[in-house]
Amino acid sequence: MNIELMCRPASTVARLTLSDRETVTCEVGAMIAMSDGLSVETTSRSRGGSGGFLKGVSRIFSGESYFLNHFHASREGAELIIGPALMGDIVHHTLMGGSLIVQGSSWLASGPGVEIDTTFQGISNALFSGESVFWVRCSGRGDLLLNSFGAIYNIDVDGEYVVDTGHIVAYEDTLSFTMSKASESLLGSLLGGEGLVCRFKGRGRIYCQSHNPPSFGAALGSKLSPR
Amino acid sequence: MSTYLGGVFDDALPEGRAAATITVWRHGVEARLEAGKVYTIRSEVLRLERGGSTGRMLFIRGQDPRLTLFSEAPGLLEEIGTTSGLEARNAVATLTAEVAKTRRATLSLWLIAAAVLVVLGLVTPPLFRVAVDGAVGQLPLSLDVKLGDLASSEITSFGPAITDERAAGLATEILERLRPHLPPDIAALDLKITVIESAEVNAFALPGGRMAVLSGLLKRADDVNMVAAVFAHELMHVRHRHGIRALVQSAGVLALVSVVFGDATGIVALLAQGGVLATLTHYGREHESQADLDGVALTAAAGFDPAGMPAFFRKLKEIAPSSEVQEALSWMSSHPSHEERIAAIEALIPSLTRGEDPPMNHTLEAARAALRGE
Repeated sequence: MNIELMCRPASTVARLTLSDRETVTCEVGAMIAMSDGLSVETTSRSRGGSGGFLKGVSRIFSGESYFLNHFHASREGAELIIGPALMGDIVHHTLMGGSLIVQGSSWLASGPGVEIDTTFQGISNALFSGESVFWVRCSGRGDLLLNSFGAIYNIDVDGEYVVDTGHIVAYEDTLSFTMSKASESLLGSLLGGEGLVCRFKGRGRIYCQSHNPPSFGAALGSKLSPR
Repeated sequence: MSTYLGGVFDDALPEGRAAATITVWRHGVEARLEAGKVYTIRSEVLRLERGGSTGRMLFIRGQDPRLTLFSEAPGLLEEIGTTSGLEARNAVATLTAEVAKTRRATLSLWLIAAAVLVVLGLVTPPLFRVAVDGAVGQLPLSLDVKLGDLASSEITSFGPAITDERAAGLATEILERLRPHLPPDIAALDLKITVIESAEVNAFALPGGRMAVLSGLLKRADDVNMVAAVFAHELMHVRHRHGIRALVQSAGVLALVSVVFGDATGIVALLAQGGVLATLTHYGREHESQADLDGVALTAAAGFDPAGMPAFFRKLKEIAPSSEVQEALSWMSSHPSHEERIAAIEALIPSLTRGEDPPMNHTLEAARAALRGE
């Protein structure tokens, strides 16, 4: 599968060129356009039959859809263009055996070797991180496309790293994160507008997004006239 | 010997990391990359750590700070403990002890949190009751009257008031017979009763003493003792200020204080959500039991037969299933657990001294005739 990211970074779409008999699994509603030679199959299962009803339901909790769309190429060079619902960037991550913990709704598409599952990130992290209670765990081998709100960038952490709540797109499972205050004093944290932050520890990669939907909504909401 | 899926962090690798297959040997832990490269961390320098997103990822380090092996595969730690050299076993033992300590700490935190919740659950209701009692005690009786006035316009929503002297006079006569046996401050209130045309078997008293009896009750009661029992029960809600208690529980004292100072808009808005009458006459089970027992004592003191109350309960139970008028159930539905209540009332009756029973000026039969339009 050849992946080309176009129109970066504000309104990125991904052009996927598939080989004959190759399959890609996408988020429901992600397809923008496609060439001939592609058939679509919608199921709650991963490609190859694993998963099913419960996995579908657990995906709903993580902010994804119950169903998955599998695009199957019946000829060489079939082309599929996909994009996320909100404006923002897409990043291509190649999984090589490890796992990537993806914020609910940031998973866009993945190759057949990637298993999509739901993982729980702990009560306190769920309550205070501004993220979903459940996250999507992508593991296995293959291509993975993630989308963000705004631009996306990655940081390779070795030690400690702090990300503000709502800005995490994904992180490798070799990292652990806890919620903590942004500064020494709680008052300072609150007055500084940062409040609680996510503190990562360990070694691995984090993908962050430049904007977060709740802040955008809060900024926009006050300017809208009531209906 | 088993193999475990995992990975390697090595600064020399293109991405800094790669997937690897991990094998445990006596001399150390080995990680083999797909490309064929092999890393080995010897037993005697091996350091272990738990971490990662789930807290279950095992990190294996040696002397080289740039190299870390990792895996989340179950069984790996146990195999290092049994297969590797003595130093590695010590590392496993240290880590296992650390993990157990962390687990104990987490468990203790959860237990403390659970204990705090249980204690709060046990302590809060009695404390709340004490607070409500204290708050109601501080509020003047004039507040009850004001609240009753706010709700009084809703009384006529049940139906038109009946002015025929035979019916209205009977209700007033029963009320006046009960009045002298109430505490002086309640007896001094402007107690008034209105008969309302409605098939419902119901009666209610608003805070401050304004009462209403629905004509269904007069039609279905066997004698005046039954009617007096219901009146006495309702008067006890007024006496114990149950309406205001219900309000304090749902609205808070501040909202009531605003009524005292004349600004009733807040409380009216609040009550409008559920209906003023519904809020003021929605009593808890405890309040109902109190009204039963004090009410039956009141009927006896006023010279009515105290057996009228349990008899009325039985009557309601009896007529309700065959009755086509479902409203007949309404008085019962807001007054739960009949059998227990009847038993409690009947247990009290023998200890009561019945007062003088003077002949009545109005009769139930005449009132019924008036209600039938005769």
